[in-house]
Amino acid sequence: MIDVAVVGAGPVGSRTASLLAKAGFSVEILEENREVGRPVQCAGLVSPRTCEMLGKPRALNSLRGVRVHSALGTVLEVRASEPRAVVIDRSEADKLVASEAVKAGAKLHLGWQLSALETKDDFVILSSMDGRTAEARLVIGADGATSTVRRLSGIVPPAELLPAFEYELACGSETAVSDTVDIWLGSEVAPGFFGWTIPTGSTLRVGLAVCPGEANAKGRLDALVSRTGLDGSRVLGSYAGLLPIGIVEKPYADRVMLVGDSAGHVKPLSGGGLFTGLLAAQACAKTAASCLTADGPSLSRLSSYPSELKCALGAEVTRASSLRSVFKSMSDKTLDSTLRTLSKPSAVALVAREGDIDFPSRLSKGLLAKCPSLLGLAPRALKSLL
Amino acid sequence: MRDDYDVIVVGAGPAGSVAARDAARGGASVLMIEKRQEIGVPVRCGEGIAKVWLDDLGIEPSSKWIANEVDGARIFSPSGKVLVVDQKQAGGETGYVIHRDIFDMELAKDAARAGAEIMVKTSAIRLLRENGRVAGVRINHFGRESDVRAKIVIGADGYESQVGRWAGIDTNLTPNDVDTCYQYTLVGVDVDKRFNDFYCGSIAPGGYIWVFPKSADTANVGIGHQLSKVKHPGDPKRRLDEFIAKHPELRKGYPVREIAGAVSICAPIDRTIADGIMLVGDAARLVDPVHGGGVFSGCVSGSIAGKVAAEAVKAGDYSSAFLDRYEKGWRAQLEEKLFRNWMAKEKMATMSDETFDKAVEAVASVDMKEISVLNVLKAIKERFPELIKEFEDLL
Repeated sequence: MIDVAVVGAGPVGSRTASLLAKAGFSVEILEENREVGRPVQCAGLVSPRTCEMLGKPRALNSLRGVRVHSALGTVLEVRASEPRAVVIDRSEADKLVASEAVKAGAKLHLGWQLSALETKDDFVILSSMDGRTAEARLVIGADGATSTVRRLSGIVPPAELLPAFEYELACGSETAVSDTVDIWLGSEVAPGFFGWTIPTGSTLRVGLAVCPGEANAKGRLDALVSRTGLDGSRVLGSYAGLLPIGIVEKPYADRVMLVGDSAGHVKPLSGGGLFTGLLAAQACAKTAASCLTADGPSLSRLSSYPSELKCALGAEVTRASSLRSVFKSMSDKTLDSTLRTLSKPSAVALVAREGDIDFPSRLSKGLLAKCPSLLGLAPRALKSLL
Repeated sequence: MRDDYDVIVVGAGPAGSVAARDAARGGASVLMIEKRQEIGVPVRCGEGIAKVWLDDLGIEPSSKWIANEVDGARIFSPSGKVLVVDQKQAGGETGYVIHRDIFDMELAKDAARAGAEIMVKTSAIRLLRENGRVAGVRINHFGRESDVRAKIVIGADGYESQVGRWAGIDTNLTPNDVDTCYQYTLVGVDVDKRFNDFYCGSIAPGGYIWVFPKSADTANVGIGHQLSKVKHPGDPKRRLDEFIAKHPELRKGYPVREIAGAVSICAPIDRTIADGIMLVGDAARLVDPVHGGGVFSGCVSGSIAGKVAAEAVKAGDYSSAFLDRYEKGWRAQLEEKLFRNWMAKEKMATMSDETFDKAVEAVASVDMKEISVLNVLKAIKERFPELIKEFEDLL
């Protein structure tokens, strides 16, 4: 019998395991793949802050500019004076955090595909596809957007699971070392979300996500590649996955907790899950530790988890969720006029000065003050941010 | 993607990427296809490579893919006798422990820069034939099939190569000529990162166990186990687990990656070409039978095949008579050593632990300027001529 079984050795699972192992609990990480960090399902663009939180994996490229393209051709460009984002090798980052957990005393098992959870009075039996079992007082599901722990324990999924698709393209060195990200908006390009091109220093990652139900993400990506004039004939990698958007309100069940993508701990506007997930890992480990120290992680004790999460994640995720609702309601024409409104030098200067990819909603107040006409887009939703 | 190229390369490992690069540099239009979704993944390799040859092939050592630069190797006999081979003596046989996923990706980028087109998640289903000649490849790209025409197909599709079989080239292997492999990448270990370690004898029948440090706390720990000596399918993993359990410095680590695979350890095969076809790298069984390394011979053969493909396109001649330049080219550079090392492997596979002990002791006692497989064999010849009687004329 161990204290905690963490399902999934992504950075969020490994960090949770690491914190609990350091607190003296016996922890095992059960990873379904035979290699930590593969297959990669991430564009690998993080803030310098998040890179630090991951234990400083190598930065492949530093970025300080963004160009947002509307479907009607408007381009809003913002450049900061210093790097605001770095591109990392996700596979390396995952191994780094997993190593940290192992060194803290967590045991890591590979090829461990969860098939069943059986909750007993004071522990849970986990079974794998190949007949292995583990007994733990608490199960933490850090097993991603399509979480098996979530399905087996009957927890509701995040509100939206957006199909995402990305290519890594070989490209000319000038394109690859650019310090500017492109964001492509529009109902043709990426309905309900956006497309991106990220220069990695030696390649270009181009990808998009679309609203749930949109089947042909790959077709749309091929279309984006050709309409933006990229050379799609040299593809070094292709990556598919789901972006979970919408925080799960009750991310726990009897002796089970969810953390990270499985519980929608993702930035609602950008789909980035590392910063939010690593913060959630702290809340998860804190709750788990206090329940394990007391008489056990029973359902009633775990009910403090949502408030711990709220405390760790702050107001950002909630505010960004409102902004995402506004974004989803906007037509191509409205998006275009919004970009034109935001092109006002004072607004651009504000974003350049204060923009932070981990806290995009913090700018909303200032931007609405500079561009009051934007309030007309969604008076109620936007006023709530002021 | 077009539907017609001069050259299609099947497989984007090192041999395929170097072939695609050099064919494109020679002026040919090239498409390289890779069945996996990402080039370089999963890694199925011990990741130890020599370094002297990289320059000749225009591969610039890069901190992106060099995990660790080793000073040399240590060879452990069954009773624990150690032969230490430092970098100077190793004559370039040791060098870097690399990140193969990144290495493969960088070589593919070189191919792309040279002008080759690349598609992932694209497998070859069969060869197209017209008038009895190879005319291209039927491919499956993200579940959709189509025909892509080409004058030359280069099979760089690894150990499980299908291109060779489709082309009627005999690449069959006997169980004696296959090592089944199992490897963990362990983190949290405590290893001497200056040395690649090799453990030989009955601990790994017909092969060896390796510990290649990627850093002071991370190492690839794997086993090559001759297939003919495997009695139960789980033998290689079991022997490796037993080995790790006996080594406290490794036992405290945990795997962040585990892989199973196989490698050929055969004598050079009779033929690696057919009309419009060349096989390179593992697909052509160009793997060193003693240590099972294939990156070097893969890149050498890939480079020659790429150049010959470009020449063939210029000459408009894709016959096996023309492609014989490739066959002759790789044999001139690789065949003698591969054959000699195959003989040595055949011998080593029959050696008892006592003989291994004696051999390691004998070599360790000789002051060698350069320790290569050849010099080791020569040293053994001095002390135990009966061990290498069968192939002494090769020394």
